[in-house]
Amino acid sequence: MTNHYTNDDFIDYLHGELAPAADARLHEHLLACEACRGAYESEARLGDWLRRAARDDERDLPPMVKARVWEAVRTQRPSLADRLRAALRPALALPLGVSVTALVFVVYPAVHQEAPPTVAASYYLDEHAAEGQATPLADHPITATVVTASETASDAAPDGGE
Amino acid sequence: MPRPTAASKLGLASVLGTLAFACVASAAPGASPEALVLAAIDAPHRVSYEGQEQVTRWGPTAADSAIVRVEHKAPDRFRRTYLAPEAIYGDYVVTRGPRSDKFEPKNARVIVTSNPAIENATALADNTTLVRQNYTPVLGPQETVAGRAAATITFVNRFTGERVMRLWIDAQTHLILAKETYHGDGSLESRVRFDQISYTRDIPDSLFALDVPAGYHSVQGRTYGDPSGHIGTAISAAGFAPIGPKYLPDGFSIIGADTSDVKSIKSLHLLYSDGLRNLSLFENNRAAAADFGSLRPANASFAGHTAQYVKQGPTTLLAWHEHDLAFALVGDLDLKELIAIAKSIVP
Repeated sequence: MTNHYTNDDFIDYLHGELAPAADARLHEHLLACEACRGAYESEARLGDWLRRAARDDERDLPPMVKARVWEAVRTQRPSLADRLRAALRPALALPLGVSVTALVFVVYPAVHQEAPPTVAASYYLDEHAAEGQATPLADHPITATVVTASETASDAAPDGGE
Repeated sequence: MPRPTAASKLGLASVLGTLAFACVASAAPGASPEALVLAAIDAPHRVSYEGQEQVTRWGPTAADSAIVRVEHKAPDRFRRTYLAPEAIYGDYVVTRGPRSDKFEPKNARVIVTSNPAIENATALADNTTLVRQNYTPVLGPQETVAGRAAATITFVNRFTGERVMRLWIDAQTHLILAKETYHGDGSLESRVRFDQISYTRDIPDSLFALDVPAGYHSVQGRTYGDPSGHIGTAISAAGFAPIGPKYLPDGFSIIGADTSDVKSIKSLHLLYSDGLRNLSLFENNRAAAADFGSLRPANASFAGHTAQYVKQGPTTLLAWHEHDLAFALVGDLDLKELIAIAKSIVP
């Protein structure tokens, strides 16, 4: 091939914008054509430099700008509200601490009392039925449990085991 | 009522057994109602059988019912297999003395419970005495139950004249083939009745095996209390001064007490009986109210208290507070009667 490629061709090549066949032909040409290879490498270095420069600009403000910002921070005086808050901080901390303590030890237990103890009604009913077996004409003990079969069928662990 | 010590249990049991045996011999046609009743009490210790019975208990608006196949090998082995309702179909319970193991194929588990009251000979003897004191057994016409000739006995309360219970007693074996109990107004409270029965000792022992089947897991169920005659000991164990009722229906007297730990709460159980009906008063001094769970209690007011009550079949539970004590009164009595008792439980 006697024709040479242009910078636009190299830019498209660098950005992967060429069709596969054109991309393959340019790649093959760069291997054989020293002039085009030189032009391509120049274009590639230029692209790298532009990307590096853009990244550096994002990280660092210009030195003068930074200096002005720090000077403003050092010379600025606190507002009246800021000074008042700073002065009252110890006076506010104590009552706030007391309030939090009271909340933890007095108010919280009052609101979140432990549930009072209970005894399952089924415990009373079962115990009564079981001990009734000592009467001479009582139903058979198992007969007595039949009537609560719907409960025991779904809940086998009798609460009397408590 | 003072009760004999545990040491005399065997002696009393022997006396009861001898008495019953004597009555069996005399419970021939023309035997007295008392003799028939004593023979009926003793019959399960002598007679083996297999059959099917239906159990129904009526509450105020609904009834619970079950059909059970029963195998019994005297003196103390039972196997009861539930055929209905569907929720417990196929479950079976093997009872050997005080121990009952409930096998649940659907849940692949066995629940083991123990009820020492079943073989408390002292309590049995005391209650038998109470039956004789408080009830008049009246012999009725002979009837047929499950194809067997049966003598009928109605128990009439000596104080109120009310019919409380009726028995159908096998004329030959003296086994109770059917039993009905009645509310104070005469309405039916419960019925147990054999649909079919055959007497045989040819029942395989394997039916009463307590081995846990492969793939099942064993669950330790309740060990029920056994109210003793040592009421003072039970009260001491409770650790607080209990309050008893100043009023009890005629014929009722205290027959025992025990103290149990329920979730670390000492619960004192005072047991009263008139021989056929029991009344339980539970007390604790931890203000531990009754937790009705899925039951739906209703409110009742008396003597400035708001109480809650629930009826389960013929049994009513009434619970309330009095000072620092929590009470639960349980009995197969009408609510009106329970409230009358509760009113009398005051410090």
